[in-house]
Amino acid sequence: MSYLSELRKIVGHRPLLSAGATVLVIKDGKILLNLRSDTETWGIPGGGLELGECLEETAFRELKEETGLTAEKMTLVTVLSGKDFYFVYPNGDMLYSVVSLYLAENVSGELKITDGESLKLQYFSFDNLPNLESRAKTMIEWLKANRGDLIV
Amino acid sequence: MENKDYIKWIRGKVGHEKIIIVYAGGCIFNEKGEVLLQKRADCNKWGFPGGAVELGETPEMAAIREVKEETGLDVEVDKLIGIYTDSDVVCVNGDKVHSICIGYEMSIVGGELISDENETLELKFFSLNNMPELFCKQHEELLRDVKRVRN
Repeated sequence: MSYLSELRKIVGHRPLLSAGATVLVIKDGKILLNLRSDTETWGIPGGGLELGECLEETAFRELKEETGLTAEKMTLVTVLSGKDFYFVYPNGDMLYSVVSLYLAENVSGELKITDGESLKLQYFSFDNLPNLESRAKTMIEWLKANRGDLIV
Repeated sequence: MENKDYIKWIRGKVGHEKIIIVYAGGCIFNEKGEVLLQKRADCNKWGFPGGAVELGETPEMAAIREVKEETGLDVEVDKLIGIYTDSDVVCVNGDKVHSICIGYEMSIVGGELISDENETLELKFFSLNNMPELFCKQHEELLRDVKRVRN
């Protein structure tokens, strides 16, 4: 059982602070997104830190679990959090995330959904994005404002 | 409770059990290029100023707030240096922590160096080439990265 699920048994839906990693897979100027099964909006692959891991390890693990892909290297882009990263899940769980955003480099493998958290995986160009989950939207806005070099 | 003292609240629920706590802080340089260290009251060793991120705060906000509380200085965050992890910390009081420390380089924009007497025994600037032993592995790793960036 995941760290957050264990804590939820004790604290219920009350707001928790979690650390997580979000992984940017960018190919030919397009970003890989996943259609989340919980919110039915599109997100950027990633997930919560588990006990014993560092965030870079979270990034590698979540990329593999959510997309089937493997990266040679994860480069830290920035750390984002605060009010824009407060989220209420459809089940009522309230969460403040501190998100470390990694760029996956030299990605290989074939797209495959293995963990039941995604309904679909697809690459999108930055000027034609689908209906995004709020945190994904904030991260993409941050990228456009601060790291134009990544989204050419 | 939601925006104040998250750790006290969650410790009230889970006791000493291991939880993930995110800390923010880092290196504050003076005009001579020396870095500020805090001699901590809990372990009698030196470390970089900083503290735990509260609900709704960004790590930058937490770093600025903690530096003000611990040193009296007003700082701004210049850049992210790295993220440092220790998944097996046991505090003096027995609390178990999986610690994530987000380290920044910061510069002084105001205030006056005043020590917070509850948490701090001494505040002092050190040259990067003449640093004392730091209280934890994460701060040593942050120091290593800062030296690399500045040299």
